[in-house]
Amino acid sequence: MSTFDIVTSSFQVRRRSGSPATEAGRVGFYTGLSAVAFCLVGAYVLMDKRAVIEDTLTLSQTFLALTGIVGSWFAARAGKRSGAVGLAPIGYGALGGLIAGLMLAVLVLLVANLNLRPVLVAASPMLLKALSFGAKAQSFQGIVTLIGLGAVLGVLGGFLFALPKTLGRPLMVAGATVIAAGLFRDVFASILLNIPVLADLEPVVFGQAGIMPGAAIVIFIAAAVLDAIREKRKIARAGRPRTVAERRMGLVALVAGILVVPLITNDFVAQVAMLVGLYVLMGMGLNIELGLAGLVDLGFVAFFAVGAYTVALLTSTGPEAIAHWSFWAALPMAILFAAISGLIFGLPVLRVRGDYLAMATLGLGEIVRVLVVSEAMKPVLGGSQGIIEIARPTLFGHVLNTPVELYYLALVLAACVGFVSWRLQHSRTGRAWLAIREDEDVAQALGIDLVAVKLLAYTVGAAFAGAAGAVFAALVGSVYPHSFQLVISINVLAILVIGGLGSLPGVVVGSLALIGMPELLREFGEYRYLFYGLALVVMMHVKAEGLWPAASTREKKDAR
Amino acid sequence: MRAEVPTPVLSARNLVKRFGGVLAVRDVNLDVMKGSVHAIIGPNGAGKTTVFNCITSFIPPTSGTVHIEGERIDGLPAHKVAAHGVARTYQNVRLFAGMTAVENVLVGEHRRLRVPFWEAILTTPRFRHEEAEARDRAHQMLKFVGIPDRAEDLARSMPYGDQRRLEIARALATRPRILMLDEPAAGMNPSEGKALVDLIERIRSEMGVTVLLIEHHMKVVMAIADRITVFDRGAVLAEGDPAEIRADERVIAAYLGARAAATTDSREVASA
Repeated sequence: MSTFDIVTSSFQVRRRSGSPATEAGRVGFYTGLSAVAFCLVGAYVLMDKRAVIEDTLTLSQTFLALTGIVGSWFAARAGKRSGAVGLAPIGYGALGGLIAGLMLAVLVLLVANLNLRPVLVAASPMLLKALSFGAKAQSFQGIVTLIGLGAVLGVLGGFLFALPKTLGRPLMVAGATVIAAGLFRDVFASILLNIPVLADLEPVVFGQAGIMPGAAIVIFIAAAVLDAIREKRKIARAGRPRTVAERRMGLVALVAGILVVPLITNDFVAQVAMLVGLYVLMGMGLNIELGLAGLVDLGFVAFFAVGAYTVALLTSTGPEAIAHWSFWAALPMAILFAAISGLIFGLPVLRVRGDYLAMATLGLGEIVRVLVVSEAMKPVLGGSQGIIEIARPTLFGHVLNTPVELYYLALVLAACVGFVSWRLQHSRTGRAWLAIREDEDVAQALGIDLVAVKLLAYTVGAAFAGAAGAVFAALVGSVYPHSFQLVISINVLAILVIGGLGSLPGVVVGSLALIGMPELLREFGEYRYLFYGLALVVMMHVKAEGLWPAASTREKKDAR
Repeated sequence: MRAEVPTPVLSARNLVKRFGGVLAVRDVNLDVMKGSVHAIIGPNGAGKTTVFNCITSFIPPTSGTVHIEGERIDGLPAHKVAAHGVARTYQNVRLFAGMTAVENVLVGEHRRLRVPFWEAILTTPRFRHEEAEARDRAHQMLKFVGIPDRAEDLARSMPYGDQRRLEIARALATRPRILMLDEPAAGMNPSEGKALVDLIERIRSEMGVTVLLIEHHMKVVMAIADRITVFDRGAVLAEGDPAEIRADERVIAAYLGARAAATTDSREVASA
């Protein structure tokens, strides 16, 4: 390696690599380690109760299989990178899978023969039973099955790696489609049930918890064929970039999905969609502060609380109410009060930057929460008992109280807020925000009044959160201080980071990924947050600019 | 070229900047005449950039005054100084890296755009009109500095020379009375240096903007400066036109040193 390469790759320090076998073995070891960890944290037994493919594959088996395939894919790659040629990588994939399988077998033997339960609660007979895949627990046959399964998955992973991209990709996409169909069974099944022509299909395609095996095969083949056609087209385009119309397709699909899905699914999905809508509203607010103006705000939930409490106080029929307005009259007040609180919030932290700003806003946010639960404010805000009996919004005499109706309320507000953000972003104000995010001192030297611009960002961002709070109060019908925990601020922050800072579609995608998906995957139980955390870490390594990055973080801006 | 009126655009009096025990700028007096190109030279650490920072309120001077066309600007926040018609570039280019070239220039126009933000939300005709005009002007400015086809490129993906030009375009977009360039020719090859000299000449003649620049490239300085101030260890060592400076023995000793003696006929060098 030349000196230049060493200098320029200084933050990608490269390990000296060993022989292909050691490299593949190392990856196999890590794969086995994650599989063992998956079992020992207790997730395996819990997730084994849910089927992905009816009577064939449970959720935890799916997870284990994915770990094996992905692990041996990397093992095959590691083998190839350290010099394996031809079909040899498949062998190294198999080696990786075999090692992972062996490690699981060792785990089974250890759990069977030593009492690990005082230390590792999850090392239970249930785990042994689950890991024997129908064979008699702890039998020789069970152990061999486990090791053999590892090797088979290894061959599969290696095979996927060795296949040309035009073949391998459709297979992976097909597999992912089937798993998604099984995982989100409720969503898809309710869609089928709600479309009269397709209603009869539902029992054929979906079982109690997952997808039927026959349907899984059909979907697998269909998805593979469709993706292969897509790949073909991509090759036919021969590197020519997609046209604007083609790129817009993604956006159109997203919008259509957002509009229609809650209508044709069940109330549970609509409720989840409603929650996603609330987070989209808040996300767009924080997007102004953090995404555009670069102002970290960990006290963001305070504005959400102000909006919710304003609506509560103005529309409730409970004892704390100060008026009995309609929701529509209270909504502008909620937005106004949230905006004012944003302005007040912004004043003390104007001169604070970076990490210090995060700390200062964190403190301010907590002050608001503590104030609400305090004895002093109890006569006004109801203390920890909160405010109940908040009136539902009515529209032309019709009370909006189904989740679908409230979802559309949130959606309309989100659309308004999105429009306002978009207009601001492409104006003098938005450019000033971007400029202070990039370099505050230079922006000021160009004549931008930092105080005015920052306060406007806090005010607008808070107003959006206030709108979200108003809808939240109307949705739940009651507000309690414990609904406004720090974790909401952190969730919104994570949505922005995952979706892509400064990107409006990113807010929607981020909310779907971080709020919608975990809600729909309730089977994960408390492990949701484990995967949540893992996903965040992986995301930051693989795609740090977000799922739908803003144009400014892409290579080149589209010509307008 | 416009007739030179003998009034200073920028006038600094008894400027002092102390960083703890270090006296970075000691009692500097500086007058920059309207319509001139004024160069500041001096060895590294002589306090040239610190003077720039004091004038633009990047850092407050310890004592002393700064006037722009008779109005006092020291002690004002940086954006108010900008409002008095002071614009600058930076020694290490400081563009808004994640924004396109035209957006960078549009940020420079910020102060001149008047339509409030709610009209942007409502997309009033007034807003659209102003925005279209601003974009037009920004594109013209990019053309003026010679990078018209970079308009939609992200600042960070542009070559270094173009970044320097963009920084100048952004500063000019504020319609300054005085443009302060901090080592504009740093890292440039001779042909780029020559193009820069042309550009500065056009900034003065076509836009009527006074230019104050810090520069190490003596070829550039000698080619365009009407007046040169030499700094050494935080104080003004000498001031005069290029010929006087070249002849000044103190300057040769402190800064030009043996190199100046080697290039005997600097006039020839300057016209190259």
